[in-house]
Amino acid sequence: MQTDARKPAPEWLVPFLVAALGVPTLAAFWIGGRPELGALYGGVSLLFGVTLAIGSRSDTLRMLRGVDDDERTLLLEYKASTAMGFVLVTALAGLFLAAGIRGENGLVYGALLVLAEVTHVTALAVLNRKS
Amino acid sequence: MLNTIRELRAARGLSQAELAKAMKVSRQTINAIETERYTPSLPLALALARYFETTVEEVFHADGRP
Repeated sequence: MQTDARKPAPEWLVPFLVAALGVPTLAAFWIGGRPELGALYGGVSLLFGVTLAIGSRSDTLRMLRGVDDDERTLLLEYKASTAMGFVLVTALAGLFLAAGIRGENGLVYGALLVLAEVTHVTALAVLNRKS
Repeated sequence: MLNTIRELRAARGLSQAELAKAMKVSRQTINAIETERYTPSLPLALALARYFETTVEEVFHADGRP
């Protein structure tokens, strides 16, 4: 019995995307007149992509690459994504409050918080209809 | 969830990797089920029971009793 009908993405896709993100990062900071920062951030992205690509002994890295994906690893991926979202929203809320304390409008942080919550509510509504 | 996967697998001389391949899941998932760290989905539980030619109730024990 097939327990996971999802077609797996190729193993190289995630490492490639992570590493490739270094190129627009470098370009953006270069355009902004800070090529050294672009090289640093792009280099970090490239290094992470290469680590993902060659880290074959680590279960965590294999899961990030989508190797041997099954229902358990997908559940772990959902939980890890939830944790990531929680940390990001908490950090945004902290930055929003800090902006308020500094007398700034905090518009960027507030807009991102609204976007996060709208995404959450929309996803719940859509998933609820589909399940 | 308590289960008898390890015993059933051992009785047939199968490795975790071989059972994992038959179930189309990773070896780590079979290990997690055997060590009760992961409760499989209903489709996987059914597949395991069918593979061992028994029933889900015989393999998995929600109330903690074998």
